[in-house]
Amino acid sequence: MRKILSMAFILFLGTCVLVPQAKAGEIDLLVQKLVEKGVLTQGEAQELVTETREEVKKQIAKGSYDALPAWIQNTKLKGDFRLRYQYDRNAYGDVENRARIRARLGVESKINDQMKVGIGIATGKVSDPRSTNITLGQSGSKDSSYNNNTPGSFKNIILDYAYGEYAVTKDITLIGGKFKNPVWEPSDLLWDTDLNPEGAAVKLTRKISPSTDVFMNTLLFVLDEDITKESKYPVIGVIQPGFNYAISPALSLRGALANYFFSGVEKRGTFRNQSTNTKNANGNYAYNYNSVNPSLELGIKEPLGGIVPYAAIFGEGIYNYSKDVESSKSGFAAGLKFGAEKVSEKGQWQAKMLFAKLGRDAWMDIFPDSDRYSGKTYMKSYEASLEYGIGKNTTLALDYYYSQSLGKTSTDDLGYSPTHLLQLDWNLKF
Amino acid sequence: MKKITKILFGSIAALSLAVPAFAEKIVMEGSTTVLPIAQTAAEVYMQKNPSADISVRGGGSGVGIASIIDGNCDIANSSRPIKESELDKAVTNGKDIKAHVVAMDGIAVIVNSGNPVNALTKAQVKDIYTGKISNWNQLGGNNEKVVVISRDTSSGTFEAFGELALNKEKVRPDAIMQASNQAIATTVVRTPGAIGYVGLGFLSADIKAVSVDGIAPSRETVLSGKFPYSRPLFMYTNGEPKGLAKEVIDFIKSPEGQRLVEKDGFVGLK
Repeated sequence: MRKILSMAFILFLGTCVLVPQAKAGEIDLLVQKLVEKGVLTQGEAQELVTETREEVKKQIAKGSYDALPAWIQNTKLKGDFRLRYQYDRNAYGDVENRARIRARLGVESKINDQMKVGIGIATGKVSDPRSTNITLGQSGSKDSSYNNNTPGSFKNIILDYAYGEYAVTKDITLIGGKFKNPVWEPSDLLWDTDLNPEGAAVKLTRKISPSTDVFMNTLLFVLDEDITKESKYPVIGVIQPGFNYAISPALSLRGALANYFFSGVEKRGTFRNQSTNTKNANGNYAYNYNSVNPSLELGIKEPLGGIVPYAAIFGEGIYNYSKDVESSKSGFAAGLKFGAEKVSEKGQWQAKMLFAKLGRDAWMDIFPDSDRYSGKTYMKSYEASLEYGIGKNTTLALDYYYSQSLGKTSTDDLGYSPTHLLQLDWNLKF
Repeated sequence: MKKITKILFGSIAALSLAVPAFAEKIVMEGSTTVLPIAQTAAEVYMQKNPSADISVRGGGSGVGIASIIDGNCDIANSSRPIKESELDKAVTNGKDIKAHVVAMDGIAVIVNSGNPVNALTKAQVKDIYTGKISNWNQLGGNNEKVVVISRDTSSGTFEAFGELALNKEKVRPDAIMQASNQAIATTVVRTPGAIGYVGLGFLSADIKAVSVDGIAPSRETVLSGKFPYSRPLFMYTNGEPKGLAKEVIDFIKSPEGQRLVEKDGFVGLK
């Protein structure tokens, strides 16, 4: 009772004066008097003063926030900007030097306790869902039209994402619209990170033990509207069960097995011709791409006596089990990253090395990372990257790809000649 | 399309029903300084209450506070007070963060056992960590380079040390960053010329702590506030704790819990 009355009195005093520095000293004096008189022990005094200060700090923060209009309270604005220099040498020895920028701006607003909406725009080319870059040039033109047949000079603002999200429970979330890919993979072997699928998704998570939680990501990706009577509705269905397992405080394991079901793709006209998937005599896709994709990532905190804060070994594979696919129907990626788990502060850094190989018909060639051999299949590639924090939420990054076709794809193709891509980025996030 | 739809819905139903219900579970996450307190309390509490399920993780005070603001843990352990920017984010996220002081701690300055220096002033500690002193002979010690060890930026110990010892000045750029109290202790023990700082609970027989301004870190000097680098240790909850979270915090604050706190090398409040 004595302690409750003491705390109530101190909290009242603190709240009334909003704890400017001088008044905080007065509370300390009061509490010290109570200690001297034997009303409180030294430990109880420390507990009371500290908890009261924290409570008053919180009330001040709440007071400032509650004064804002409701729509500001419920809405978050976020975005990022990237300036890039790119050196690109193709298999024919042609060299291209480009300056590129990417800008993304998004809004997320909470509609009620369970629902929210997100809308985002970005720079990019309207014809390429895998890139949000625009190339600087054309004398600083702001023109977004296709001008003088010069590819790469498009400067458009595109719709990056627009979705509604419904948290049915804390374990089940429904998403619909155009949204960030819910399918997890430890590399970008199958999905370019700028590609936001369109359709619907369900995300399930459940903690089954103190060290383990399971998840299930499901996605219905609508590739195109069904514009002909004969063809099926082209969609991809994905079911990805997975788990997170904390082996120890320093070791964590994440794994998943994605199952891809394609419908309305085989024998359909190609969406954007990359010339690496096998086509039939009519120039349509010869095969389907029903496949399995196992993924695994082992995270290690302070490996080797703490020489770096974090390291991870990761890998994934893809196998197309559709009928009639005779060969070149598998692929994999394996890599290592070490340094900070996420670079967000000055002085933090992360290095990554990765090897990827993708068979001709292991996967559709319109989805993989567009920086790795232009996003095509039938290739192998080595990647090395380094990211360094030069300030809070701002980094410099260097990324290098050495890529090669697995063989000739046409009579005029140089086939085995390697390509080189070097990117130097300045990234800013808010 | 029909086949895909059936498989999708079947999988959702299977996952939702397949996992049986468990007893109440909570997650405690954050400070590596508070970690021993949380782990000991969790073990003892679960022995007494076998149906309770308490998961304890480290990561640093910043990680724990971010986790409770995002709703990913039930109790955030922290060796520093929550920042105003974190409070603003909590309020924006609809979280009502409540502080519970569970123990007092001192940040002890430790040196390699081969170092003859036994005492430092606050000014000397600051000068070492901000780069103004680089050789132990400037402090009456051996002619040996000072190897400065510090915590990474997600650490509450780092934040508290920065405020109490360095007046928020930046740590010298050649300082070696470590991700936990234990990592600092290990590095200082193994490295001649090294200096670091750890929570009181991480002192042991093979670790040499120096006095600061003539005050050695101890229970008495930390509780009375005489030791210059004294600090409270927190557990934060979202609102008033309920259920298992309340029981665990009440247990830690109870006389039995505070005896466990003292046994782990910290300073109890009772």
